[in-house]
Amino acid sequence: MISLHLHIFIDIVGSLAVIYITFQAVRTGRSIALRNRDIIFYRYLYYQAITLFVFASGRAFGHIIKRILLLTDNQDIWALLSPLSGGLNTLTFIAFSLIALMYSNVQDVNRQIDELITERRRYKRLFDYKTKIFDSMYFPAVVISEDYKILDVNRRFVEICKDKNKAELIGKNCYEVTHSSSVPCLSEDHPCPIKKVINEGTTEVVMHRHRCPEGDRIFELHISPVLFGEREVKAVIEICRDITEILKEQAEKERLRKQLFQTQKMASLQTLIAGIAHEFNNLLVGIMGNAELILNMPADAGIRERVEKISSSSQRAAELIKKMLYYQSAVHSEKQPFNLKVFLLDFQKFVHSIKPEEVDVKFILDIEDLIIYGDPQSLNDAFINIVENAFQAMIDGGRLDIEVRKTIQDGKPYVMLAFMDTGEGIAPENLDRVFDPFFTTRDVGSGTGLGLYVAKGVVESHDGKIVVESTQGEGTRFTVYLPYKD
Amino acid sequence: MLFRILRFVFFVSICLFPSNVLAVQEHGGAEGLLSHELAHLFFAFSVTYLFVKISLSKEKKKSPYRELRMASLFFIIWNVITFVTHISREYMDKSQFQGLYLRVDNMASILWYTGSIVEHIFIVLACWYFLKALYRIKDVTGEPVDLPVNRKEL
Repeated sequence: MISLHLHIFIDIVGSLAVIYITFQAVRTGRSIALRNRDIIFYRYLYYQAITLFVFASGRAFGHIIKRILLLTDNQDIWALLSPLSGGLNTLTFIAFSLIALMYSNVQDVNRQIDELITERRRYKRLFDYKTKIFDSMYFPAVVISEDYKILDVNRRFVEICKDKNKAELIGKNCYEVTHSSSVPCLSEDHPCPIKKVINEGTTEVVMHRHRCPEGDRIFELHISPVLFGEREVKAVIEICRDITEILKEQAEKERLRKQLFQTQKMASLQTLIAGIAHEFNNLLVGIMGNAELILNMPADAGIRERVEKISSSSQRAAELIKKMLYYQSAVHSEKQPFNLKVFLLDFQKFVHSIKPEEVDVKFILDIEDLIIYGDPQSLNDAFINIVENAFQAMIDGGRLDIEVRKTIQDGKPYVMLAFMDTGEGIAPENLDRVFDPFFTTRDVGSGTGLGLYVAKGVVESHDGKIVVESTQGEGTRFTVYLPYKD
Repeated sequence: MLFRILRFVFFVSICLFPSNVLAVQEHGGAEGLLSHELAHLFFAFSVTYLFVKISLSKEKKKSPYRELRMASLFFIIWNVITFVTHISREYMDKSQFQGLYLRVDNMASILWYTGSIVEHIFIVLACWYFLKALYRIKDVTGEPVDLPVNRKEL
């Protein structure tokens, strides 16, 4: 006889162990399957774990219940339950077996899914790679569909559209974003080349003014077709190069070049004028002296009349020489401190005294007592020249406004004197030449063309500057800036 | 194809030979020993198939296939042992069981006694290796898997 105590003990312990292990298997399998929904093999193992748990726990409970019922002398109850326990046991065998036999199929499916995932990862890497390249571009770039919708933008493009993020930009119409317009750009100064690029498949380069949060910017747009099929173009890529600063630099360089040219021209002219005037003056002294001597001598009326003409012509020539030489003397005149307001009040009286009747003059003196370091006489002559020039531009009447106020230029304090007339204005092609010596648009004999030349020389000798703006038919504005110290 | 035929034969067998026989765990009545033993054979066949498939694959020495292979092996052994134990029980007499004692006087009683103890070792080992295989997977995929791309994006 063998005792069955050990047998029963092992039966119970083994059954409990199997229940515990298979329960853990179900929990672990579920966790794995839920975390990796794309891996069908894990789901397969999870289902195996479930059937194994049902099988093992059913069997183990059966064993335990059997032991309890037999030990408590309930063989009848066990006889009733036994077929149920055994049947369940058999069914779970089959279920587990069937799932086990699906191993190959599951592996095949899993392999296919693996390949799909690998392929997807490859595409993702490729997508990331292309996106990084697109985002690393120095210039802003945007992909636009044939119906003007923004399909994609790079990081630089988002940066220049400061008030919108990428998600907000995609799907919007390009003309809304870059031109704040509700219709595509059809105007002549902003021709939209998208249709042309799509139809012809060529690359176009155009300049556009874009509305940016910090103000308008000029962009050079390189627009290329994006080929979807062999020759199918349904979108374009637009690379935007901001050339606002470059254009500004070019304009500044051009301005400096013109200024240098003007300065050199003026210096040459001044040297030439000074030389000619000096020599001519010496000759005039001889002509005028001899004419005076002849006039003091007895002579017939005919000779006397001719010598008088020589004398008067020489006088006019001397006046002209004086004006020509005035520039030199004004520029090199002695400078002293003086009260600008007092000076301008005198100047105001003088202007009113010489103004034609048909011209109205209005002074706006928006300054308090202000000390300027300069030559009041030469400044007076310069301003008179500007005022006379304005009067001559308003022969049929008009209005001259003279406004004086303090201002700041390049961080330095200046007194601004603006002379605004409502005369005929200056033609745009003559604007650059108005300060040239002997330049005049008036009839011969009605002006020497030295007035504005002298005015500019005097103002610049006071470390100031003079600017002219004019609209033909509307009037001209001369603005003089003179520095002062607080 | 062969597998399909075998599977069909098993099912047909279960349906064609219902008998009123008893097993170790009294698989009597409508169920019967034969159907239970056939289920054991089917179970043994399926885990053998699993074992062979894994053994023939390149991944047989890698986790979790190594553990699954071991689980299959122990399931095969367990099936063999329980199959024999069920049959041996049929050759035992009820009078051999006296309360908590067993009279061991033939080979069947020895096989039954030994088999019903040893089978627990193998079923526990089989389940344990299966659990271990799942643990190995969990070790690798412990963190939520970052799937490369949302399906909708493809």
